[in-house]
Amino acid sequence: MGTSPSTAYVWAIIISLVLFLIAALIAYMIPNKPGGKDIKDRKVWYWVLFVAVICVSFGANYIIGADIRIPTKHAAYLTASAIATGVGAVLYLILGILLSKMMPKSKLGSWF
Amino acid sequence: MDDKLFIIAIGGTGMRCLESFVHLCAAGMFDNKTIDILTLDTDQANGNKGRVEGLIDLYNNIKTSDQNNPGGNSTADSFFTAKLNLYRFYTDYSDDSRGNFKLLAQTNSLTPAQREDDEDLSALFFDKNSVQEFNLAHGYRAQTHLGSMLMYHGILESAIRSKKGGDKVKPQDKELKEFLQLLNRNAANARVFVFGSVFGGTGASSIPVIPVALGDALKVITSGDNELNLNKVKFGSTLLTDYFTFDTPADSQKKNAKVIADANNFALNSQAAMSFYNKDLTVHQSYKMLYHIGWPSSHKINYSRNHTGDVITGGKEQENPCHVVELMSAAAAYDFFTRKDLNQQRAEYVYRTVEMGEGGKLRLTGASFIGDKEGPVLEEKLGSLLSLSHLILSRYKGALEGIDGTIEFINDLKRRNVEAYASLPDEQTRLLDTYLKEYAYSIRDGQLLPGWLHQVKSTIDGQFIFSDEALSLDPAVLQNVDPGTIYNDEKYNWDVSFGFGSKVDRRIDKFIEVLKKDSAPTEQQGESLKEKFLGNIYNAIVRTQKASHL
Repeated sequence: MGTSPSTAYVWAIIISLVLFLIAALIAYMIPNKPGGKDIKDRKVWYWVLFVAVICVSFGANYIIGADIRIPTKHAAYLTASAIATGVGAVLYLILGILLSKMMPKSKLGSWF
Repeated sequence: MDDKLFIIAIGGTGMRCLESFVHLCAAGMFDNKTIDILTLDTDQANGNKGRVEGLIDLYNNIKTSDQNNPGGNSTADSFFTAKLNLYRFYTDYSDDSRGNFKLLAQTNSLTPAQREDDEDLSALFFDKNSVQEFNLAHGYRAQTHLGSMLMYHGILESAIRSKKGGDKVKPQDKELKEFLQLLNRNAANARVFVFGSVFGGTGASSIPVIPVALGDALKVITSGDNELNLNKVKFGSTLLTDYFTFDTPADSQKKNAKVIADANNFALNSQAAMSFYNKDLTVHQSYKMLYHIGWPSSHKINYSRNHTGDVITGGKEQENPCHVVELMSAAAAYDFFTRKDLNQQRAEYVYRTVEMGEGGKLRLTGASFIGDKEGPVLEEKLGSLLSLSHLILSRYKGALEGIDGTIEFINDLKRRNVEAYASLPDEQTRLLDTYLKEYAYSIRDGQLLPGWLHQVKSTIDGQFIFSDEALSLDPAVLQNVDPGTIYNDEKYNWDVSFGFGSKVDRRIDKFIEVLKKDSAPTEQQGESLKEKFLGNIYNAIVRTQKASHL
């Protein structure tokens, strides 16, 4: 894969999906507990990983784009990285809301 | 057609056997059955009688709050499946004019000579200054020769009052009449099981005469048109010999009470009773099955423990804890009600022996109570209700004062978007907490108040179906008990989910997930929301177990 702006989008989406799967796995691995502490824990983990999507996605693309020597291309890649990070974050959010609402009785239902 | 089932519980021991029977019903051992229960005593205020009648009321209120259909309908594969109808009768000796035999036997229309003859005849059978004069309100005090006659008399007297009608008919007369009429309507296929001891007073006096007394009372009520055909109305009973003791009463109490049961004579009473039941023709012809139930004399519990002052002879204070022997009696009723053929002409005597482990310790499994085939079912049914108890009382802290475990549990389900049971009224769900406390335990001021199953376990020197931890008498242990590992046999314990947390957390996690997704109640588990709630929990418990016979 080269380092065109589309690369930034691909990486952002992959990172978003991977972290989303990790959030889902953690949600399932937190056992139900009386008083709903587990629900709070799932929410916290979901939002921690949301922040991670933003940081990891932008950070990864920043490192990948560091090799671009041509300033205009480098600037274009950084711009694409920022937009891709937003896309990844929105994707993470939409998937979270969709699955949470589609399976309200599952542990993912704790997110929203 | 299924036989119609009846229970008659007589005296203090009979009431405690009935208590065990009700808990078997709550555990779901009598699916799709309606059972009509008559409690019979000399003493309306008796603590054990009051306790079991309250328990049956509680049971019925848990099943339904519909006032038009008390106790709801029978269901299957759930908790509280049998429908129980309660009838209460007692031979009322509370009135000053009926307090002892001498007063009861008084007649006005005799000449002095006739009166003298009568008194002489009575004195031949009943000691004049003791047996004829002791207060009957606390039962027959091991005077079974007097008790049999008076119980027969009490039942006939009630039937005559009912027949005559008018103001003199008492509530207990009406309930006895209803029970008799029901027995009469189902006379073609009725099974009646009688709970009582053979070594004490009221039960021992009544078991031999009860089939005949009910038959004769029915004749009175129906003006001779109907009588009980004892080949069709099949009676069974326990021959329950002495299994507990109490302190010997002081001389002063003996003197005041005139006659008082002495636990030192229980073994002798039992032996005499066995000899009687072995030979008596009326018993042989009246009963189809008689279940010998006994207990090693070296393991007897002293019911006077923790009590000072006079020996309790009856009344409100007589509220003895439950014993495993009473569960054995309830299991005998299960056997009697589920036997295929009962066509024998004479009473059949049966017994079962139980396994002893190392050092003479008992090893009781479900099979010890109802045989190898059904034993695992008994274990799991009792275990499912125990798991539910631990879940509500320990996990959701319902054992503690002021905390409603079931409400907390339902709120927790609501938080997880299971809202089906959110509309159950709080006062209804509190009844389930109350029942589970009766079944298992509660904690007050840091002290454990053992319920039925914990009391039963405490009478056994050895193993009893469940782990020692599950039936611990230590509140600290119980507050952290795992509802999913109550069995001695690991294969019946709950599965764990994959994830973080302790094994206890993950077992309960598995249960909650199964409850939410894979254990919807079926139609046969009941129609009301409460019954669906119980069915849902029952399914989840059974499906969370690694293996199950249910």
